[in-house]
Amino acid sequence: MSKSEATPTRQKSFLLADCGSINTTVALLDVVENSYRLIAQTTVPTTLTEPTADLAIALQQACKRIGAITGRSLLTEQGVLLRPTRLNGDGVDQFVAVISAAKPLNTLLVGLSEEVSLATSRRALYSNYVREVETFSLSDERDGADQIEALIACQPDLIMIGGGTDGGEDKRLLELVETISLGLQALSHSKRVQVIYGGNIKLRESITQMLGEHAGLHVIDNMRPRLDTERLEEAITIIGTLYEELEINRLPGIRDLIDWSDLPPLPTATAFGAICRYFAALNKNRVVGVDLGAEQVSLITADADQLATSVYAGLGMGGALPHLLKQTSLEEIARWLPLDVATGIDRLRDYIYHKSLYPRTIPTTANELQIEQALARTLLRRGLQRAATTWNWPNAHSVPPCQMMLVRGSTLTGAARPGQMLLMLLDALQPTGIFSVVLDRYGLLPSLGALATIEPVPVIQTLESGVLSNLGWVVVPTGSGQAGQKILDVTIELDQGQKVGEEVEYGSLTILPLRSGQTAKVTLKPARRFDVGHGPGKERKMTIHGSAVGLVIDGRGRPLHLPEDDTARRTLIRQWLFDMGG
Amino acid sequence: MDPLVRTKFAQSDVNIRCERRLPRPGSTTVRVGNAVAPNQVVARIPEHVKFYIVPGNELLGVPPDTITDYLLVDVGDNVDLGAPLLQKKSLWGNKVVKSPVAGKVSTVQNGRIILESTARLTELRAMVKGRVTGFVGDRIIVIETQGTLIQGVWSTGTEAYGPLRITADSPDQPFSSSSMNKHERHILVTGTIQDEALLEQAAFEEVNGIIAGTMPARLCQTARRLRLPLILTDGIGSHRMAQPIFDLLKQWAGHETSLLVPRGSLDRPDIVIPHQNGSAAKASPPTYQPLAAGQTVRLLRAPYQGQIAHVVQLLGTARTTESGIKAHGALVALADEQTVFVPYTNMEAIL
Repeated sequence: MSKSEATPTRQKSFLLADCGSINTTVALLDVVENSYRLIAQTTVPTTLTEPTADLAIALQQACKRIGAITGRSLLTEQGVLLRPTRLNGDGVDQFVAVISAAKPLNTLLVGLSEEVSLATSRRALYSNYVREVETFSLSDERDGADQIEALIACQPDLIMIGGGTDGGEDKRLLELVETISLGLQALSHSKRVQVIYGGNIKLRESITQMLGEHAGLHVIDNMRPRLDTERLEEAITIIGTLYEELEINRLPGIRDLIDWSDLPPLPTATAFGAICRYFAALNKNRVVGVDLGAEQVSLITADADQLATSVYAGLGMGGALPHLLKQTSLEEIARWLPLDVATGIDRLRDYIYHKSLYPRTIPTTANELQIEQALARTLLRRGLQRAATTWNWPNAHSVPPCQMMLVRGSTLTGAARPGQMLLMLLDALQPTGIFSVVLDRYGLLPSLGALATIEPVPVIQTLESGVLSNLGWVVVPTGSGQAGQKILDVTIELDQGQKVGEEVEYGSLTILPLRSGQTAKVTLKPARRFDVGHGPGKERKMTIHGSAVGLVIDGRGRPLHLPEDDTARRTLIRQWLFDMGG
Repeated sequence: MDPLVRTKFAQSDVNIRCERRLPRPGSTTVRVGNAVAPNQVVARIPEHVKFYIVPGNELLGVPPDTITDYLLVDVGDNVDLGAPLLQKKSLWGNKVVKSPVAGKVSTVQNGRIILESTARLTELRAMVKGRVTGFVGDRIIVIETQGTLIQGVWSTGTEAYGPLRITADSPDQPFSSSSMNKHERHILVTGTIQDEALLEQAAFEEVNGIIAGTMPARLCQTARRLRLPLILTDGIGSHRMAQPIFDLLKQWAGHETSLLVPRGSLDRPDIVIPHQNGSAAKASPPTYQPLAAGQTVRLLRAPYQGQIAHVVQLLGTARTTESGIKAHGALVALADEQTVFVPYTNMEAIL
């Protein structure tokens, strides 16, 4: 990243907060030697559990900690944020918060067909924290009375209706909407449900007549006006607004945050998407964002002109962990373990449940670390499979090729060794091509994404100051071969002229260390049937900078094949771990 | 600044605030200041009703928009089973559509009549002896009491009350068949539960509830399926109940005890034993509080999971654990006098 020459026009200071369901991270940015820097950061437990459910308590605790670190008081005696900065340096000028601590929006999805209208709706829906609690479509075999009962039983916060191309004569959607109308009337004495209609514009009037009285109706442009056209922006915006109104703004203590801030708190995934897009625009290439949270897994693909966000609420390393067992088996999780758990599968289940009760705890033994990382791989893999389905990715086993992977989540960023972090990502997401992996080690990226919407210069300067951690560069040649077959020649030429060469074999993981601060010219010469981005057998040259791990060549092929034999599989997983530095 | 650690509250002589939450709008039957007993009804809530769709226009063979011409009932009317809803007169006689259910006419739309079956009322009970001290909105009744409060970590989601019976001699003793002898209608205390069949037996013998230290995850689903009121105080697995909690429960054996479950998945279930001894009651603590040397803590993760320890020294710098993860933490003294390093995240202060 080149050094920005921009200097702050006003020397404002910023307090950033990221309020997750388990942890609240707060960071102070200010100007040091004419450029914005991270001054201090702290993480405290989020305070949303009874008997003292109040989001602001955690923020006040974090502010006191930052005050203790910096000697700069951030709060008044009453616990209110001191704004603007005082002459003595106390206080802060601006406060920005992102939030993922709110519960997801329970959503009933309505459409004509699974493949078209429901698929389109899901691409908009999963841009935020939602849980699909019920689905109505033409293939639904229930009668109207059963659907009404299902609607009442699932108590949706939001009903999202799509279907029909613009001007089409198909009125079958109205039959479903009529049922929904009846259900909403029955539900109206206990809650007012929000409805987004983004289907055939010809049906708008009928839909408004049927639902307008009984729900908060938001009529938007057809999300799929033609079979070959999709317009999701308006739906994504409305879903975000409703999430803020219905969930974020109802969190206990949120009023204090809103009072402190000039900008409404943003959903964390939205803000993370914004910063991914910033990097995509900066690099003129695709960026993949990965966030393994306590209650959700988010996968984002950002190109300069397009953003695809997939947030899967109910998948995560915290309280949501037991839900994973509804989607996969213990044996499937155990496949990623180098341990023999055949006789201890119950202990793996116990671990999952216990961890969900104490989500802030960290593994302190080698065995528990391996279990934790096996869970991380399984969760990311589930997220990947769902995102691949949602976005029709050509490879269901791999994230789309990118130039940079931005990674968040304490299980990933807090792993014991950098090689472990990389290996979790490579095993779970099985990316291909050539890309760098960058860690959000201070938990700042989403709040920087939110700040960038109003103050881009401090964000650029803070990012340039090194708040992110470069984990390494990865090369994954594509092509299939036999174990031991040579697939790539790598030559690294360091600044000082020193040259290192390596032959990479199919099935291997190779690390070529390149320390932080070093720069190297890399030449990749793939074998005839292997590709590193310029076509099969075509050479590629690039310049890379040193990082925590260095240059990793993942020659294991895609998709990864884990041996069925337990002993062979465990041996291989141990070998990979060893290759990546243990 | 001292680090914040999770707290586990297990104390007597405290003011306890219990919230009784109505799942849906309903009517309360108590007022502020009322003393309530555990079995006392504090609110009545209509159950979810069933809906019936009567395709009136199809049954009469008339266009949907003319249905109102044939209606014998209005929206909001209560109707009995078999009551006439629609009538169409013709030269060949009257055609009548009757109600398939006793209930209320919910709405008439597009030729269809929607009937709600008559709603039955479910009762929300106090579940704890105390006094009503307020209402929060129209869905929460606040009951306060004085006594012993022990925070659990997991529950089946089913509440109960009854006299407390200690069935284990020590906090590591597993639940056994003999634990249940002649103790139906009691809240039983045991160290651990390891046997699925015993959960079935407990449900069959109408045990009011169970308090255990731990239980394997494979039994959690069984206990939930049986709707057996059960609170775990220490977690999932097979380690013992924390000694201070076991001792506290023993102290109040025979007393009426309530098992109360939380409103949200992150909230912990409570064991409440109302009693008064005239001493000044303490307030409930926050979920996290600063840690100090000398504090009694319970250790949450291997290799010391379930052990009780005392904080010897808070460390200012992070240390590397056996797993290789660096963490901030404290030196703690275990019961065998060994002093070990434990991350702050992996302990909870027992208050």
